[in-house]
Amino acid sequence: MMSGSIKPKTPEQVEAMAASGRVLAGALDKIEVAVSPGVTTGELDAIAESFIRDHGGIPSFQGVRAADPGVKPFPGAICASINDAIVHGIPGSAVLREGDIISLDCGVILDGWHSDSARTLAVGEIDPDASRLLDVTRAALAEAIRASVAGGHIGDIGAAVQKLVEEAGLTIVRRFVGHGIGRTMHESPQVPNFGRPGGGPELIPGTTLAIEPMVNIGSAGVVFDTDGWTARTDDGSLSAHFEHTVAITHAGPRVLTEAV
Amino acid sequence: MPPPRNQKNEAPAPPEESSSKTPVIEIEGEVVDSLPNTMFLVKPIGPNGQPLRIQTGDGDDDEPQAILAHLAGKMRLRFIRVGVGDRVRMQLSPYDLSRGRITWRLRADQRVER
Repeated sequence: MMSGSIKPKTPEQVEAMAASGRVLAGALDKIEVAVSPGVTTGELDAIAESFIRDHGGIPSFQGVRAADPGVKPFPGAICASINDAIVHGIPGSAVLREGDIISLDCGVILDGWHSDSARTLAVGEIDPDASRLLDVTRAALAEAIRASVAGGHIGDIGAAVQKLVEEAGLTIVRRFVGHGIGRTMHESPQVPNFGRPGGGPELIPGTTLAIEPMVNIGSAGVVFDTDGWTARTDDGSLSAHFEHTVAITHAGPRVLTEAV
Repeated sequence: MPPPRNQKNEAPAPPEESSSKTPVIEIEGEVVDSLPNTMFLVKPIGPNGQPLRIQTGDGDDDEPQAILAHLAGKMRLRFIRVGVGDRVRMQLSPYDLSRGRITWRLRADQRVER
């Protein structure tokens, strides 16, 4: 699980993670254009998996074990979380409808290096509240990345997200956190989406983080489906999720999960 | 894929009712006054954040009552500081509802969302 100390990466290792991230960004771009009313989340999952394997990668989410030993390992290459689903939605027969929002989270292992990224997309036309939720969450991730500078602290990242989201009148999910990433998907440190500036471990060059604000319109409460994975808002309100894998470098934050 | 947050200070689930012990009533409240000897006046708050009225049987029904509560021994041993405005969990004896034992101080993010 997530324990131990933060393991900074050498510049060569960061490059290897960026290569993994490029495959992941390609997979997400591919499923992004496939998102439209009538498509099932299972179809999106299949597209992502074949893209990743065609590019020499392994979908890292398959077989991830839940904290609860009674829950089956995660079956998909992507997490597909529609509307009030926050994260960890299992892809399958669910059909996208006009007006839905869908959070797509995916991870790749390439040459032993992990990358992890997510984005929330509109299916057709969505209402203004939903659209604002996506804008705020996307902006929160951008702010968080801007705060990820060498010499700063983990708390700076959380504080940046918290300030922007709470000033927008939306709610941060506290039940789940971002994480260090590298040879394994989940490494130290935890990266909460709230915090105090200057709090938590210092950010040193070579630290690689998966930063992932999860934002709800309503309550911060989380309930789980009987599948043991799908996490939903307890009041049924919409939830959005954006994530990038980011390296702290001397030259500032570097997003590793972007197509070039 | 976000993992669940590890919380070292996770509030424990309320204990199972044990037949060998006198049952306790567990409620939350807000500290309204700090008294000497780690005693506090605590205003009971219901699960939805509404003020709770508890019949303490001391007459004066119109007075918004506060419960006189002491800090549980384990909290004193660990020097858990409790102050005015803090949300706390406390246990009441079913025999005397005007007295309580504070067993948990809730952190800001554990407070009932309103």
